[in-house]
Amino acid sequence: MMKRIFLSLFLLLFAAPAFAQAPPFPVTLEKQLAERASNYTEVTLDRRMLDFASKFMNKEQDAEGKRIIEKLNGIYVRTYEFDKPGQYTAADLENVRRQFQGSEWVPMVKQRSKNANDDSDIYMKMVNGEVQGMFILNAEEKELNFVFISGPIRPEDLSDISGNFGIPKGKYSKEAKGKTEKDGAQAAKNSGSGKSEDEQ
Amino acid sequence: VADFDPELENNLRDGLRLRQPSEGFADRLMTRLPQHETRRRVIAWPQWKMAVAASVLAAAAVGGYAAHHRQVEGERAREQVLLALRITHSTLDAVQQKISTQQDQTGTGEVQ
Repeated sequence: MMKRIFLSLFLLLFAAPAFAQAPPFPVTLEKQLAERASNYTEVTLDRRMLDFASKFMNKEQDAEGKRIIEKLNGIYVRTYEFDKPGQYTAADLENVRRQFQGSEWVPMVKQRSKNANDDSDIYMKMVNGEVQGMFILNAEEKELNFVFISGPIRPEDLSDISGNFGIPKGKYSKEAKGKTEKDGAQAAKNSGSGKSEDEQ
Repeated sequence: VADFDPELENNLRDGLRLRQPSEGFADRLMTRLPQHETRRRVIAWPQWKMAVAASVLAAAAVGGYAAHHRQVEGERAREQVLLALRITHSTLDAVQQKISTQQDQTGTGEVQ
Protein backbone atom coordinates (compact mmCIF):
# COMPACT_ATOMS: atom_id res chain seq x y z
CA MET A 1 0.00 0.00 0.00
CA MET A 2 2.74 2.43 1.06
CA LYS A 3 4.72 1.43 -2.02
CA ARG A 4 1.79 2.42 -4.21
CA ILE A 5 1.44 5.76 -2.49
CA PHE A 6 5.16 6.49 -2.91
CA LEU A 7 5.00 5.45 -6.55
CA SER A 8 2.00 7.69 -7.17
CA LEU A 9 3.74 10.59 -5.47
CA PHE A 10 6.88 9.97 -7.48
CA LEU A 11 4.92 9.93 -10.72
CA LEU A 12 3.04 13.05 -9.73
CA LEU A 13 6.18 14.96 -8.82
CA PHE A 14 8.59 13.83 -11.49
CA ALA A 15 6.78 12.18 -14.34
CA ALA A 16 3.87 14.61 -14.76
CA PRO A 17 6.02 17.59 -15.81
CA ALA A 18 7.53 15.40 -18.50
CA PHE A 19 4.14 15.26 -20.18
CA ALA A 20 3.81 19.04 -20.18
CA GLN A 21 4.36 20.64 -23.57
CA ALA A 22 8.00 21.48 -24.14
CA PRO A 23 8.87 24.98 -25.42
CA PRO A 24 8.49 24.85 -29.19
CA PHE A 25 11.53 26.93 -30.07
CA PRO A 26 15.19 25.97 -29.42
CA VAL A 27 16.01 27.46 -26.02
CA THR A 28 19.68 28.12 -26.77
CA LEU A 29 18.80 29.97 -29.95
CA GLU A 30 16.19 32.01 -28.12
CA LYS A 31 18.82 33.13 -25.63
CA GLN A 32 21.31 33.99 -28.37
CA LEU A 33 18.75 35.99 -30.33
CA ALA A 34 17.60 37.79 -27.19
CA GLU A 35 21.22 38.78 -26.46
CA ARG A 36 21.68 40.18 -29.96
CA ALA A 37 18.32 41.97 -30.04
CA SER A 38 17.76 45.55 -29.00
CA ASN A 39 14.17 44.64 -28.08
CA TYR A 40 12.53 41.31 -27.73
CA THR A 41 9.20 39.91 -26.62
CA GLU A 42 8.60 36.37 -25.49
CA VAL A 43 5.08 35.23 -24.69
CA THR A 44 4.54 31.66 -23.51
CA LEU A 45 0.98 30.67 -22.72
CA ASP A 46 0.22 27.02 -22.16
CA ARG A 47 -3.24 25.51 -21.77
CA ARG A 48 -3.33 26.24 -18.04
CA MET A 49 -2.45 29.92 -18.56
CA LEU A 50 -4.95 30.29 -21.38
CA ASP A 51 -7.69 28.83 -19.17
CA PHE A 52 -6.72 31.19 -16.38
CA ALA A 53 -6.61 34.24 -18.67
CA SER A 54 -9.95 33.42 -20.28
CA LYS A 55 -11.61 33.82 -16.87
CA PHE A 56 -10.58 37.46 -16.92
CA MET A 57 -11.55 38.15 -20.53
CA ASN A 58 -15.01 39.42 -19.75
CA LYS A 59 -14.96 42.71 -21.62
CA GLU A 60 -17.02 43.05 -24.75
CA GLN A 61 -13.96 43.47 -26.97
CA ASP A 62 -12.41 40.28 -25.52
CA ALA A 63 -15.19 38.03 -26.78
CA GLU A 64 -13.54 36.95 -30.05
CA GLY A 65 -10.15 36.44 -28.45
CA LYS A 66 -11.73 34.38 -25.70
CA ARG A 67 -13.56 32.25 -28.25
CA ILE A 68 -10.30 31.57 -30.08
CA ILE A 69 -8.16 30.72 -27.06
CA GLU A 70 -10.76 28.45 -25.48
CA LYS A 71 -9.97 25.81 -28.10
CA LEU A 72 -6.20 26.19 -27.98
CA ASN A 73 -3.50 24.26 -26.14
CA GLY A 74 -0.93 27.03 -26.22
CA ILE A 75 0.34 30.22 -27.82
CA TYR A 76 4.08 30.84 -28.10
CA VAL A 77 5.30 34.12 -29.54
CA ARG A 78 8.84 35.44 -29.99
CA THR A 79 9.74 38.76 -31.57
CA TYR A 80 13.24 40.18 -31.86
CA GLU A 81 14.19 43.64 -33.07
CA PHE A 82 17.79 44.33 -33.99
CA ASP A 83 19.76 47.57 -34.32
CA LYS A 84 21.48 46.42 -37.49
CA PRO A 85 21.01 43.75 -40.17
CA GLY A 86 22.79 40.40 -40.09
CA GLN A 87 22.03 39.51 -36.49
CA TYR A 88 20.64 36.10 -37.42
CA THR A 89 21.58 33.54 -40.02
CA ALA A 90 19.81 31.17 -42.38
CA ALA A 91 20.97 28.36 -40.07
CA ASP A 92 19.19 30.02 -37.13
CA LEU A 93 15.94 30.06 -39.08
CA GLU A 94 16.44 26.47 -40.19
CA ASN A 95 16.98 25.52 -36.56
CA VAL A 96 13.54 26.92 -35.73
CA ARG A 97 11.85 25.39 -38.78
CA ARG A 98 13.23 21.99 -37.84
CA GLN A 99 10.84 21.92 -34.88
CA PHE A 100 7.91 21.98 -37.27
CA GLN A 101 8.84 19.25 -39.67
CA GLY A 102 7.11 15.95 -40.03
CA SER A 103 4.29 14.47 -42.00
CA GLU A 104 1.67 16.42 -40.04
CA TRP A 105 3.15 19.82 -40.85
CA VAL A 106 2.01 21.29 -44.15
CA PRO A 107 3.80 24.35 -45.52
CA MET A 108 1.22 26.85 -46.78
CA VAL A 109 3.67 29.65 -47.38
CA LYS A 110 7.38 29.13 -47.90
CA GLN A 111 9.21 32.20 -49.07
CA ARG A 112 12.99 32.23 -49.24
CA SER A 113 15.38 35.11 -49.81
CA LYS A 114 19.06 35.22 -50.66
CA ASN A 115 20.37 36.15 -47.20
CA ALA A 116 17.40 34.70 -45.33
CA ASN A 117 16.53 38.23 -44.29
CA ASP A 118 13.19 38.26 -46.04
CA ASP A 119 12.01 34.69 -45.43
CA SER A 120 8.44 33.81 -44.53
CA ASP A 121 6.77 30.57 -43.55
CA ILE A 122 3.31 29.54 -42.60
CA TYR A 123 2.93 25.88 -41.69
CA MET A 124 -0.29 24.21 -40.64
CA LYS A 125 -0.44 21.07 -38.57
CA MET A 126 -3.04 18.78 -40.10
CA VAL A 127 -4.35 15.86 -38.07
CA ASN A 128 -7.08 13.76 -39.68
CA GLY A 129 -7.95 16.64 -41.98
CA GLU A 130 -8.28 19.08 -39.09
CA VAL A 131 -5.96 22.00 -38.41
CA GLN A 132 -4.32 21.38 -35.04
CA GLY A 133 -1.61 23.99 -35.06
CA MET A 134 -0.02 26.86 -36.92
CA PHE A 135 3.56 28.07 -37.14
CA ILE A 136 4.43 31.45 -38.60
CA LEU A 137 7.91 32.75 -39.25
CA ASN A 138 8.57 36.20 -40.59
CA ALA A 139 12.10 37.43 -41.09
CA GLU A 140 13.03 40.96 -41.99
CA GLU A 141 16.37 42.71 -42.08
CA LYS A 142 16.16 43.95 -38.54
CA GLU A 143 13.28 41.95 -37.19
CA LEU A 144 12.42 38.33 -36.59
CA ASN A 145 9.07 36.90 -35.51
CA PHE A 146 8.06 33.34 -34.64
CA VAL A 147 4.58 32.32 -33.65
CA PHE A 148 3.42 28.83 -32.77
CA ILE A 149 -0.20 28.22 -31.95
CA SER A 150 -1.04 24.75 -30.70
CA GLY A 151 -4.62 23.64 -31.20
CA PRO A 152 -7.40 24.14 -33.72
CA ILE A 153 -6.87 27.49 -35.45
CA ARG A 154 -6.93 28.86 -38.95
CA PRO A 155 -5.57 32.19 -40.20
CA GLU A 156 -9.10 33.38 -40.90
CA ASP A 157 -9.99 32.89 -37.22
CA LEU A 158 -7.74 35.82 -36.60
CA SER A 159 -9.83 37.99 -38.93
CA ASP A 160 -12.49 38.02 -36.24
CA ILE A 161 -10.21 39.83 -33.85
CA SER A 162 -9.49 42.66 -36.32
CA GLY A 163 -10.64 45.89 -34.81
CA ASN A 164 -10.05 44.57 -31.29
CA PHE A 165 -7.00 44.80 -29.01
CA GLY A 166 -5.61 47.62 -31.15
CA ILE A 167 -5.56 45.40 -34.26
CA PRO A 168 -6.68 47.35 -37.30
CA LYS A 169 -9.43 45.88 -39.43
CA GLY A 170 -7.82 44.56 -42.54
CA LYS A 171 -5.87 41.89 -44.27
CA TYR A 172 -7.43 38.76 -42.86
CA SER A 173 -10.89 39.89 -43.77
CA LYS A 174 -13.79 37.75 -44.90
CA GLU A 175 -12.87 38.42 -48.57
CA ALA A 176 -9.49 36.78 -48.06
CA LYS A 177 -11.12 33.90 -46.23
CA GLY A 178 -12.24 32.05 -49.34
CA LYS A 179 -8.78 32.12 -50.81
CA THR A 180 -7.13 30.94 -47.59
CA GLU A 181 -9.57 28.09 -47.24
CA LYS A 182 -8.84 27.08 -50.81
CA ASP A 183 -5.10 27.24 -50.14
CA GLY A 184 -5.52 25.22 -46.96
CA ALA A 185 -7.54 22.56 -48.71
CA GLN A 186 -4.98 22.36 -51.51
CA ALA A 187 -2.13 22.24 -49.03
CA ALA A 188 -3.81 19.44 -47.11
CA LYS A 189 -4.33 17.59 -50.37
CA ASN A 190 -0.66 17.97 -51.19
CA SER A 191 0.51 16.99 -47.72
CA GLY A 192 0.91 13.39 -48.80
CA SER A 193 3.51 14.40 -51.35
CA GLY A 194 5.14 16.76 -48.87
CA LYS A 195 4.74 19.76 -51.15
CA SER A 196 2.36 22.65 -50.98
CA GLU A 197 0.85 24.71 -53.73
CA ASP A 198 3.30 27.47 -52.87
CA GLU A 199 6.29 25.27 -53.35
CA GLN A 200 5.25 23.94 -56.72
CA VAL B 1 -44.05 70.36 59.24
CA ALA B 2 -46.08 70.61 62.42
CA ASP B 3 -47.81 67.29 61.78
CA PHE B 4 -44.53 65.30 61.69
CA ASP B 5 -44.71 62.21 63.92
CA PRO B 6 -41.93 62.39 66.54
CA GLU B 7 -41.90 58.57 66.93
CA LEU B 8 -41.36 58.01 63.25
CA GLU B 9 -38.60 60.55 63.31
CA ASN B 10 -36.88 58.73 66.13
CA ASN B 11 -37.22 55.39 64.38
CA LEU B 12 -35.73 56.78 61.19
CA ARG B 13 -32.85 58.42 63.00
CA ASP B 14 -32.15 55.23 64.85
CA GLY B 15 -32.36 53.14 61.69
CA LEU B 16 -30.11 55.39 59.64
CA ARG B 17 -27.47 55.78 62.31
CA LEU B 18 -23.98 54.89 61.24
CA ARG B 19 -22.96 51.54 62.72
CA GLN B 20 -19.69 49.68 62.62
CA PRO B 21 -19.93 46.18 61.10
CA SER B 22 -19.15 43.25 63.27
CA GLU B 23 -15.62 41.90 63.23
CA GLY B 24 -14.75 39.80 60.19
CA PHE B 25 -17.72 41.08 58.19
CA ALA B 26 -15.62 42.15 55.25
CA ASP B 27 -13.86 38.79 55.06
CA ARG B 28 -17.11 36.89 55.29
CA LEU B 29 -18.62 39.03 52.59
CA MET B 30 -15.68 38.59 50.26
CA THR B 31 -15.64 34.83 50.64
CA ARG B 32 -19.30 34.66 49.75
CA LEU B 33 -18.90 36.69 46.60
CA PRO B 34 -18.34 34.63 43.37
CA GLN B 35 -15.11 36.50 42.97
CA HIS B 36 -13.04 34.11 40.72
CA GLU B 37 -15.87 33.42 38.33
CA THR B 38 -16.50 37.10 37.81
CA ARG B 39 -12.86 37.72 37.27
CA ARG B 40 -12.67 34.89 34.72
CA ARG B 41 -15.67 36.23 32.89
CA VAL B 42 -14.30 39.72 32.77
CA ILE B 43 -10.91 38.60 31.50
CA ALA B 44 -11.46 35.31 29.63
CA TRP B 45 -14.42 36.22 27.43
CA PRO B 46 -12.87 39.24 25.75
CA GLN B 47 -9.67 37.25 25.11
CA TRP B 48 -11.63 34.51 23.40
CA LYS B 49 -13.63 37.02 21.42
CA MET B 50 -10.53 38.94 20.51
CA ALA B 51 -8.86 35.77 19.31
CA VAL B 52 -11.86 34.93 17.12
CA ALA B 53 -12.08 38.49 15.84
CA ALA B 54 -8.35 38.52 15.11
CA SER B 55 -8.63 35.19 13.29
CA VAL B 56 -11.58 36.41 11.25
CA LEU B 57 -9.75 39.62 10.40
CA ALA B 58 -6.58 37.74 9.50
CA ALA B 59 -8.54 35.29 7.33
CA ALA B 60 -10.34 38.18 5.66
CA ALA B 61 -7.05 39.99 5.07
CA VAL B 62 -5.36 36.88 3.64
CA GLY B 63 -8.43 36.11 1.54
CA GLY B 64 -8.61 39.69 0.33
CA TYR B 65 -4.94 39.73 -0.57
CA ALA B 66 -5.23 36.36 -2.36
CA ALA B 67 -8.24 37.62 -4.33
CA HIS B 68 -6.42 40.83 -5.21
CA HIS B 69 -3.30 38.89 -6.21
CA ARG B 70 -5.39 36.54 -8.35
CA GLN B 71 -7.09 39.50 -10.01
CA VAL B 72 -3.72 41.12 -10.78
CA GLU B 73 -2.33 37.85 -12.13
CA GLY B 74 -5.47 37.30 -14.19
CA GLU B 75 -5.26 40.76 -15.69
CA ARG B 76 -1.61 40.13 -16.50
CA ALA B 77 -2.46 36.81 -18.18
CA ARG B 78 -5.22 38.54 -20.15
CA GLU B 79 -2.75 41.21 -21.32
CA GLN B 80 -0.33 38.47 -22.38
CA VAL B 81 -3.04 36.76 -24.42
CA LEU B 82 -4.01 40.03 -26.11
CA LEU B 83 -0.34 40.80 -26.83
CA ALA B 84 0.18 37.31 -28.29
CA LEU B 85 -2.89 37.66 -30.50
CA ARG B 86 -1.80 41.13 -31.60
CA ILE B 87 1.68 39.91 -32.56
CA THR B 88 0.25 36.84 -34.30
CA HIS B 89 -2.08 39.02 -36.30
CA SER B 90 0.63 41.50 -37.27
CA THR B 91 3.04 38.68 -38.22
CA LEU B 92 0.41 37.10 -40.46
CA ASP B 93 -0.30 40.52 -41.87
CA ALA B 94 3.39 41.07 -42.66
CA VAL B 95 3.64 37.69 -44.42
CA GLN B 96 0.46 38.45 -46.36
CA GLN B 97 1.89 41.80 -47.44
CA LYS B 98 5.11 40.17 -48.60
CA ILE B 99 3.17 37.65 -50.65
CA SER B 100 1.01 40.37 -52.16
CA THR B 101 4.06 42.46 -53.03
CA GLN B 102 5.78 39.49 -54.62
CA GLN B 103 2.65 38.56 -56.55
CA ASP B 104 2.41 42.13 -57.82
CA GLN B 105 6.06 42.06 -58.87
CA THR B 106 6.00 38.68 -60.62
CA GLY B 107 2.40 38.91 -61.79
CA THR B 108 2.17 35.15 -61.47
CA GLY B 109 0.56 34.78 -58.09
CA GLU B 110 3.24 32.29 -57.10
CA VAL B 111 5.37 32.43 -54.03
CA GLN B 112 8.86 31.01 -54.28
